[in-house]
Amino acid sequence: MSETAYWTILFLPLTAFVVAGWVALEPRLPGKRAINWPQWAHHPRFDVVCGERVASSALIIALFIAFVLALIGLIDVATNNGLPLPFSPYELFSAGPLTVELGIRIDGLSALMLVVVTFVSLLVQIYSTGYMQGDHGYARYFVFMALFTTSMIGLVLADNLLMLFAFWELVGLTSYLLIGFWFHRPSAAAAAKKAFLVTRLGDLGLLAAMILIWDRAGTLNIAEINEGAEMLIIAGAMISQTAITLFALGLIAGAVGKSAQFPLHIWLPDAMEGPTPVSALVHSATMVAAGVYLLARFFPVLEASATASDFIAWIGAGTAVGAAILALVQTDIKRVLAYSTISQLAFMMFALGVGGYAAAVFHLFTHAMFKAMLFLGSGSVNHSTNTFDMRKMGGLRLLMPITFATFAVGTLALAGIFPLSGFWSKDEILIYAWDNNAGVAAMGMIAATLTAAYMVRAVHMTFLGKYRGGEQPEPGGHGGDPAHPHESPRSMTAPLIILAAVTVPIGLLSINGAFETLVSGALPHPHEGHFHWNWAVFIISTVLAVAGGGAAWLFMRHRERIRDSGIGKLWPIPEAQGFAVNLFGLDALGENLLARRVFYRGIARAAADFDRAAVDGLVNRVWRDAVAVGSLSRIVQNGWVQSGALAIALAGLLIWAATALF
Amino acid sequence: MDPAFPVLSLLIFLPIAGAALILILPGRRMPTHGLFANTPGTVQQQARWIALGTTLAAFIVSLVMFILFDRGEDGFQFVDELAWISADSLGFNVTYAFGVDGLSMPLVLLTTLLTAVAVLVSWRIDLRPKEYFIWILVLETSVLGVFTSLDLIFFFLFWELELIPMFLLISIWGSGNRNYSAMKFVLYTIFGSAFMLVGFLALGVAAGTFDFREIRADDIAAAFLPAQAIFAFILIAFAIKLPVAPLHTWLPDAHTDAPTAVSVLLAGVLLKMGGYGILRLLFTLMPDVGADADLALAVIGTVSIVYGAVITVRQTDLKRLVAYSSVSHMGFVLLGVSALGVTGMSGAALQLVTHGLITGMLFVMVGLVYDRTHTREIAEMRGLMHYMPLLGAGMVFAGLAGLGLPALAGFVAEITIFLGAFGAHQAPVAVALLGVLLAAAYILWALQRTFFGPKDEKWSGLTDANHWTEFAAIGALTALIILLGVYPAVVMDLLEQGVQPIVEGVEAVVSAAGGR
Repeated sequence: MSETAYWTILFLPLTAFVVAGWVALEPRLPGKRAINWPQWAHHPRFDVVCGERVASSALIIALFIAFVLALIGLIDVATNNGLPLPFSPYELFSAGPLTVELGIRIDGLSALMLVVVTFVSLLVQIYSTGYMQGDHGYARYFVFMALFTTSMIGLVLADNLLMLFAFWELVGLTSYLLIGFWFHRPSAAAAAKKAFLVTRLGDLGLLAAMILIWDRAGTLNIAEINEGAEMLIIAGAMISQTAITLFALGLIAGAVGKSAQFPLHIWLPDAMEGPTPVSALVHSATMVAAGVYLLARFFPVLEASATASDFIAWIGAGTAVGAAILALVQTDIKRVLAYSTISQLAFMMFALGVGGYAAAVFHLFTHAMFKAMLFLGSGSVNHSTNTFDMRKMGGLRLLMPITFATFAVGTLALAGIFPLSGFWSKDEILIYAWDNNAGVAAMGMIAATLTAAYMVRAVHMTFLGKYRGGEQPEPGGHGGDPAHPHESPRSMTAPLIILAAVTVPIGLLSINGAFETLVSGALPHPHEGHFHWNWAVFIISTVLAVAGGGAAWLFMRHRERIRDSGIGKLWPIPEAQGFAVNLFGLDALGENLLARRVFYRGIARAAADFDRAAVDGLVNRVWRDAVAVGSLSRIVQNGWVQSGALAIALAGLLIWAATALF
Repeated sequence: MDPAFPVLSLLIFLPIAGAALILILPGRRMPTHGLFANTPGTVQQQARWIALGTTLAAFIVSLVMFILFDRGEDGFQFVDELAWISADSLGFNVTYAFGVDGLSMPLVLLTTLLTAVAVLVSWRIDLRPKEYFIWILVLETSVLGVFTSLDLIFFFLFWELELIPMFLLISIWGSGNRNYSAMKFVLYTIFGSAFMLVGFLALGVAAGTFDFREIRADDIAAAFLPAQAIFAFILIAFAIKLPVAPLHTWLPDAHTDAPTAVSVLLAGVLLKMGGYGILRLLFTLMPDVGADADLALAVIGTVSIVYGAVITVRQTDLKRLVAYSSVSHMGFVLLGVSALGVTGMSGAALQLVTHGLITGMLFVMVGLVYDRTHTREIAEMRGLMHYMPLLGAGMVFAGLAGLGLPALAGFVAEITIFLGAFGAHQAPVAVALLGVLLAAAYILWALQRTFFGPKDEKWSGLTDANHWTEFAAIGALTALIILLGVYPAVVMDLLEQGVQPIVEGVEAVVSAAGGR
């Protein structure tokens, strides 16, 4: 496929952004009213294209074309074994030795990501037309979504680090705008700010890495950096091992922030304040996976630094287990899925750390599908019960059969049950860990067990048992009648069904190594992929998943009895749960202690006081003293002619006396 | 265009001509009949229309110059030259010489644009409107004079001329503690100017001319002051203007108490005179001293960035918050200059332009909000977005530009400075990165508190942006911020060309000294 076609994929949602932006802005301009559509346009059949619907329709059409193009591109690239296409970049501006270019890199990795982004985004937008119907900011929602998709595509396409960083920040911005979409809720506004700041903290690492590599190598081109990383000679310049390690650690800092890994994971659970389709697209399938994408993009750099590899392996392993424990104690279904996302992204992170490049990307791919589906399922549940609190749900399996069925498929995939897609990708990661780092492998197994447990618990609370009544909608809010939950409209169930249909078979892509061949084309030394299989890992992981799920099932069935029995008294469940819900106290440490106490009330206050009292005080002091000194001269310079004349007379007398005496 | 046509002189004195036209409007004693019949309402109308016409004319002239500017040719263009004082026997020659090069051309364009914006946001000034617009126009002439003077004496004259309109504009049309702030601004600047004048005299007397194109290194070596002292004296004036910590405390006071348009001009163009002076005079004339002072400048710049940002976080007055953020952002200029390379200096020059646009827009937005709420206390505002979505969107946009979001102008300048300066000063750049995080913190915090959150009935009577002048001002700045963010080469090419000779001068002395 030609280069123009790939640029078109980027510019399609950008065009939709402009169109939707105008639709959102136009009614607010003074002296005008919204477009007067002719009478026939108000017929239900045309309802999809008039008024604010223009915004969503424009984006959906743009994304559909973009998806088709991306799919053709992927097939194109796959037939070429995923090798990069020879596109040359355009110069944007230069300043001395610095030349900033705009270019796209298409290889197995980016072509695959393009398909993931456009596909999930397309389905999420279709879903959103149902979910957001009647919302006050309907058009604005699609403006932000269009900008997000554009930025995400730009991030995937970027062939140099500066362009990647620019789009990286832009997806952060759109995430901020979408989390704070319902800005009238103080919690949403606060969550949006927190998300932006915490990820930006990680972005400082990425920024520093970029500055460092430009200083040492004089290039920001991703391919050049990757090709030279192994030999420590990038673009003809010698790079020290330390510099490569620092560079890799900077990238990791950026990835840890974006992909919500420990200790910067604290923003993602709060980000669930945004509309649920946003969580599905931005905070599970695409943007948070950008951290993994970044490290996969620079995988040769990670390989060149054992320190950085080990670091990300252990960060990932720790996060995988920790987040899975936290997912186990949540009562909010979206928070369960948020922690699950953190945990699954951690799987990809440690996979990269132990050398499982293709496995990590594969898991990114499968996870994007089934996690988006799970989030959309939770949104569907919310649409009818008006709550995310699982304690108020229950019994929905008969009332919402499509949602239940698809959610169940997603659960099995996430738990890694043979032969669903999640099984193949997770097992491949565990095989790499098994071969390279036993400790990490053990932690991965524990996390996999917990994954099955928390998902079974969530399904049990949401869909099984008796319906517990939901929650009344807030005045002016949208959603159904919680007293009589019902299946969601077709615009919402169709994406669920499509995602479920995709989730089941895509795991088979790995069987003959086709997937590995595709994504390894992006590496400096492409290799033929092969099928990874390890009976020990297969048996252990399946047994553990079934055991974890079964244990959760038994616990949920008999939880009253367990609570009242000796075990419940021995281990104070509510207290432990409360402690864990508060993120092991980390959130409080980061936000309340460091940000609020130490920085805002400590350092910043001291600096501001110093500025007022000492710096400005000194200026005012000098000013006052100068005025005081000047006022001395007022005694003489009093403006009276008489005193001037007196002074002249006295002076004359003095001179006369002096000349007379000497 | 005829090369002999004095287009630059026309541009500089065009605003003065407009001011003269406003001056002769019948104002105080208005005849009620006949040709010159007038009323207070029409005086305001006439004054503002003449002011807008003049500033737009100046903008168009400078835009034509910008387009006609020969990008392939180094040195000054559109030069107007005339011997003014020729006292060769005394070694005192002053030349009426004006010209623009790649460095000053974008700043001239920025000045004419922001003055037009300033007139637009002053549309409802009804207190002594004649005088108000006269002083705005005089201010424009003086700033244009500073950016285009090729002679130290004229540079100094215009530098000082700017104080008169500023003093009056703040102390008559300002708010709050305006007399104190106006006086503080003037005294602070004059304090610096005194040093600057000594430095200029030392240079001019030694060289026998004040035309700084003619001043050579040997002349400076023969001056009655050592070059280091001259450099330091002149730097004091520029450092106050920029401003750098700890010489910044005039700035928040002056900004907070000035009327909106004056804040826009103060942040947008007046601060730039400091950065421009450092590049144009200090590093061009005394590259050897500048090259020795690079680490000091980098450290001062970094301190300004971080210290300014930390204090900004604590501000509770929206306008003061924007004002303090300028201290942080102007620190980037010094950091970029200290790199001594084309990349860093181009970035510093670009930061002058982008900060002018972005902070200009922030002040416009804060001013428009203040016009409606009559308070600037962040704690008193909440949920304004519900009542003024357009102003809110403009505020969010300007804020995002201020925190250095990619695809908007500020990002390009900051990243260029970082990339350019790291090779020379690793530790200061590493520390300065914190400024990026802090900028996000104070801007998002302010947005969250003022525009987001639930509706507050207190503000239910507020109107959104509804006047064409408001749309024109916001629209122009928005478009330019996006343009420079997406395609910075529009001005980057010129700025690079402008700093090229400066860098060559620095490199020549550095290599003559045997490298570093």
